[in-house]
Amino acid sequence: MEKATVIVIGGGATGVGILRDLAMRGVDVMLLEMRDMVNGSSSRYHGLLHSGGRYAVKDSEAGLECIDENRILRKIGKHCVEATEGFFVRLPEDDPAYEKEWVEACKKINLPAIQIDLAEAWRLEPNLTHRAQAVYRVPDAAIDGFRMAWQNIESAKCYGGRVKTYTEVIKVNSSNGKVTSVTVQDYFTKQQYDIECAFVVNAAGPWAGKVAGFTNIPVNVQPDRGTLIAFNHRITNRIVNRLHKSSDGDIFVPHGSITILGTTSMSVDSPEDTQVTAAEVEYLLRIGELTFEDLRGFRILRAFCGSRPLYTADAAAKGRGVSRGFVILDHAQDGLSGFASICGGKFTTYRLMAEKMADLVCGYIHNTAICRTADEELVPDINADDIAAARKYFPSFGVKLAASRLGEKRFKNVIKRMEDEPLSREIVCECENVTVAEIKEMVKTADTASNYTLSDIRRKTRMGMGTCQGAFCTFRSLGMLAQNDLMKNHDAIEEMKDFLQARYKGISPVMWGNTVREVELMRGIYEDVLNIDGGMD
Amino acid sequence: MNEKKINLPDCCISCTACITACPVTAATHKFRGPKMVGPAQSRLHFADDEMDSTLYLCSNCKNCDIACPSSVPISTLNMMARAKYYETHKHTQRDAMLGHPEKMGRLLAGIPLGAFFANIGASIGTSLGLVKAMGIADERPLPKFASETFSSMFKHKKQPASAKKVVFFPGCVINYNEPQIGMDFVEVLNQNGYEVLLEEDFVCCGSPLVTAGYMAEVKTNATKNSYLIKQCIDKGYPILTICTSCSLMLKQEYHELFQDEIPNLEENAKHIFDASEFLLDIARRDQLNTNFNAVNHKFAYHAPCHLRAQGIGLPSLELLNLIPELQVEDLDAGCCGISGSYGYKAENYERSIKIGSNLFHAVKESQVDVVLTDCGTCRNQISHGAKVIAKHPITILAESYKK
Amino acid sequence: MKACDIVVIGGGISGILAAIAAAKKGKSVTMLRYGYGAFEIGGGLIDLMAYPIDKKVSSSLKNCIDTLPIDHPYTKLGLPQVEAAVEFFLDLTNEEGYAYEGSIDELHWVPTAAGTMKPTGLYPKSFDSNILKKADTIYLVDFKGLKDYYAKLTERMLEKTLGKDKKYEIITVDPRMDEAIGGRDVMLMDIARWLDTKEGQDDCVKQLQGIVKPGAAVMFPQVFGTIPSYDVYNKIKTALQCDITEALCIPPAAAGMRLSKLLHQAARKYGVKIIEKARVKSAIVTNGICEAVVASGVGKEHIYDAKSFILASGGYYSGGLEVLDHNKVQEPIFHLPVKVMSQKEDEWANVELFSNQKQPFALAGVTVNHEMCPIDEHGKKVLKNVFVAGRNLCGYDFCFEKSGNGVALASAYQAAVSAMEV
Repeated sequence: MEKATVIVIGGGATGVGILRDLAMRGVDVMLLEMRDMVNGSSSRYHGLLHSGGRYAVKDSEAGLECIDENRILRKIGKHCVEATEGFFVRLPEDDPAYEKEWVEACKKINLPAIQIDLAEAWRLEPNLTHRAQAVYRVPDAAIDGFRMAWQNIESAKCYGGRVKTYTEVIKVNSSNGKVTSVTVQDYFTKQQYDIECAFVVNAAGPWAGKVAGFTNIPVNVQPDRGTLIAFNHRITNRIVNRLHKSSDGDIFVPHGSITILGTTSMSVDSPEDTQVTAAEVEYLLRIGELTFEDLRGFRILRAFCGSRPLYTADAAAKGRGVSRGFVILDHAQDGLSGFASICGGKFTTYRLMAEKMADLVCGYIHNTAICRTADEELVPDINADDIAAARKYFPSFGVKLAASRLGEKRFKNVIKRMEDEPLSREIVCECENVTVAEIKEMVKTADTASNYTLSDIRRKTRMGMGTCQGAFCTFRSLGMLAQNDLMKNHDAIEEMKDFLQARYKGISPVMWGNTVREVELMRGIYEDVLNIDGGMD
Repeated sequence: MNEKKINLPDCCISCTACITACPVTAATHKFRGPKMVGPAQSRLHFADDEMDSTLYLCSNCKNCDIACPSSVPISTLNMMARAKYYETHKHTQRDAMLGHPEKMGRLLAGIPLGAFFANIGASIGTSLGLVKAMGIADERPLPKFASETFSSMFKHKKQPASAKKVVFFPGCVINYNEPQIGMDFVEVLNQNGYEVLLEEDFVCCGSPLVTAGYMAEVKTNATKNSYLIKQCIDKGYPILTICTSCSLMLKQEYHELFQDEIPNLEENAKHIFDASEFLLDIARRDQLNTNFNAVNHKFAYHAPCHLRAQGIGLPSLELLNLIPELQVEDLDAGCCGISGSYGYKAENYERSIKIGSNLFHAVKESQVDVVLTDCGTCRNQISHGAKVIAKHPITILAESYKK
Repeated sequence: MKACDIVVIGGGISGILAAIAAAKKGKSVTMLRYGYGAFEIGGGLIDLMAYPIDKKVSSSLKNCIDTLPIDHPYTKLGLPQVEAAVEFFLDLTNEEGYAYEGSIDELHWVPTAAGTMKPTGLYPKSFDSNILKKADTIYLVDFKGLKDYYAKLTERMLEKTLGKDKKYEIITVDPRMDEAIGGRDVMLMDIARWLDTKEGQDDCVKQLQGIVKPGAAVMFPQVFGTIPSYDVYNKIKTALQCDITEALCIPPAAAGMRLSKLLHQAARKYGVKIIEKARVKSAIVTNGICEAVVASGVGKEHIYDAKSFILASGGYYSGGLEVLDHNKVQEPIFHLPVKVMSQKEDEWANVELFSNQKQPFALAGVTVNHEMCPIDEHGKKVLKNVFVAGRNLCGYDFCFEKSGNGVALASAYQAAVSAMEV
């Protein structure tokens, strides 16, 4: 039987943070994720690395926590954090009294919020409305959830950490009130097997309740849905917050080539309810266009949503709240030792959450190593020589982007491949400059043995996430995979349909303007010309 | 669709129409194509400070703009990317020369026999390999400088006085290389009861500066020209040009590049005309002087790409069809390959001939000895590549009136 | 006196067919085009109809035209007019030296790069999947460095479509484009242009001749040149002594370019005046008669007056129909009444992209009568001398049905007939 000392369930921010922390402390740890990495809440939010400004007034303790973790993440996560800085903008609709309160609150928590001249603000951000009344600069940053997770995994692997994707835990087995193993099922092959372990960490986010349910221990996680809109271009180079009491639709975050506007809050039954409605989109646009007047003139790429895992303590349960905002439940108190859940929390504090959980686990398994996750960078800087070498083969504007999403080792591999095989320099996704070499690398180093989907490649490379939303690269990528004998049991037509359907799911709530033209093109190519879903003769 | 400048690259849906229409992409396997270097990569400019390594191949011929169903000003996006590159990189001496024909022209006009010696110098330089060494193509004869500039010739021209006036924007080619065509233009306008005025302070429209990446200078010129144009318009005078690159630049590219930065561009454009466009409008109002003498000759007509990009059809062709006995065939054979200063660069010569090969073939098939076209550099390319005489349609109109 | 008889708004397939139809009958026609239409997306076939109701059941147009919904353009046009349009098209391609084949009576299946078969109506003879069905051995030709076509993918899926009892072999031809490999990449257009040249044709044939056994079937991506002629097809077919076929691929489509060139040759031949980069923005209308349309050229507006007008401005892709907001569609030039098949929010787009139901957003469009004259909800003519053709018509989903160019052709033909009668 396979074994690991600690099993971490859930490939989101919390899970990978715990994986890394434990691995760095020398623990034999394996992370199991039921689908692909970062498919849950951690990839479906606006990607704001809080400066703390949003909490300064309402919750100063959380604000302080944010500032500390913000600084740590910028240090250790240089390659997944874009230090864009941020603006807080007060509009005529916002209460001027709140501005005063906010400025004071920021001072109290040592958050450097500097007011700037409006003319300067408009020079820096030409799309910002001229109705703005006051603008402050804060050290907000944008963090790429995908890259952050992969880089935590890269780092963990250096210390012996292991990951299995498309591996769903279906049972937690115990004997005499102690955890002994987990039973898992491979998503593709449906094969079931056990993995022996001494401790199971439930870091399944909005699914934490379901996982705890395997042991009949109640953990009340209420999925709370947040909807976001992605625009095709960078409307702003900085994060732009509304200077008012935190509410819906008041953050714009630039992420690479796109801009994200979010978010909302709505209780839902299942974290798998991810279909956005046009009404939610309209709601966000009406708020957003106060800050950027021409907002409706910008093309919306897609709308998507994710579920926040909100935790409410059961009156009878004895949780140990380690810090405000997140909770660690040691289920030894519920009669099952070697099992703990971590609930609530926010992305910005994932490292701190992981540290607290790792402390608990290490206490249990008598490991005395200390946490070093704040001290060591997630991944080393990319070598300047490698960057120079890459420029010879990479498409323009693609070098730095690819370097940061590949990490040092894979970047080197990709450069070597491009050097040796000119055909691999071919650009598959022209909207985001993703080459054959990069896709090959991702397929070959995937964390799943049995199979992979085109969407996995998309998440790791940004293929299909640009302007044409897969209209061309869907076909090209499958072709190139077939050409290079990298297809497994794939039915290429089904892959095409699934991939484009997933793209469409985010496009259908925003089917107007240039977006509907893109869908017309997509249908024209796959439905009309290639007839991928019509009956044959 | 939202036509604000910032939104236009956003309208690209990646349909590939531009790549199919691009004559450079068809002629070389090095160019990434207008979609890539233009709207597609404009989304990624934030990531790095460089220029697409194949951007230098874009000739700014505008065929991509004509093909685009989404109103994306692709060629201008390319030129803006090129300009950005030159903000932090140096130009070569060759680029400086090709970008500033006006400077050269003015300089020579100020020196006695300047044009004469410049022409000899060019011949000698060519045979000594110096022209090539500078990076300028020497297979094609360089445009000759005229011994007298248009503005000088114009000063001696007596025109019948008229209440109806137009202001002429000659452009560098007419002023310094082919002034006689400018005089033909004056003749034609006089024949139609218009008096032609010349605004001495006009500067180069900026088209060669755009392609060479001197965007700050383009803006200076555009500001000056627009100001002067507005003054003419305020006096009730329309602005006419006989160079299709000048008219495109003044009517459209100024707006694409400097919308919101220079005042009155949109309003000015309503009063700027290609000369044939203006004359055709008059014809439509039945006010054109139709006393054309017969011209018993068969010509072929080449529509410059920059004319096709103006959305006015082919007015010269329509005017020529009014002349009795004249036969003219519309070649409709694509870009001639020179695209302004592009084809004069040594490294682009072969490519420019390849691009124009379709056209040269069509000229041969038509069996004419004279090809008519409204663009000066097109005339150079066609006379060289198709071994025929190339003239401006307005010359034929003038001849027909004068006979 | 009007400047011309008919102004055609739009230079895509509907516009240009309408222009030719009228010009051939001696009318003076001006065609205003913006962009180049969707020729290089579609692949140059005339899809008449294949799936009238359900994706699983295919039918030729002849066999199902009587069962189509009342709103469908074919229903409004009627079988005789559709047949006349088809005859017009076949004659035209024949005159221009690139004769199409096919009829409304039966479906013709063509192979695609995805290894599937696509049903169509009128087609150049270089597209034929029957040769693949009949053959025992199928050669798939790939080109070194080509990025938009992958024979291994095609083979994999073709096996599923045609069955494993055939022998499949892939041959890779070197198009001598190493300069592009690792640089700007080799595209389908490059191969098609290579095969436009004698050197390219000879080279390609030479590389295949040693390997391809006569009597087999050979499948190529869509690369038999960019000129509307069968020269390349004939040359390769004769040299290899095999049945050969092109396959439909992702854009840009060489066969689409061929059709575009053919139609342009014909339009010029018949004296159609073509104005490029002319985007029609509005119309001047008095008492239900359109006097002229206004095109925003560069810098200034240009007015084009005529006795009648054909609105062939396309759909969402070309801007002939604009979706302003969820569910709100407008025809921006004349503001003609647009029918949206459903008003409910969740019925604007089906949950599935590749659905077994037609997409409501695709069915939206301008309402017309049998003359292609725009009508309001009471059936009253909105404008007496304006006629509509092509994608902007309501009542059909061209991607689902495979009816795009067929409706374009038939409605364009009728619109020309109606416009000529004004």
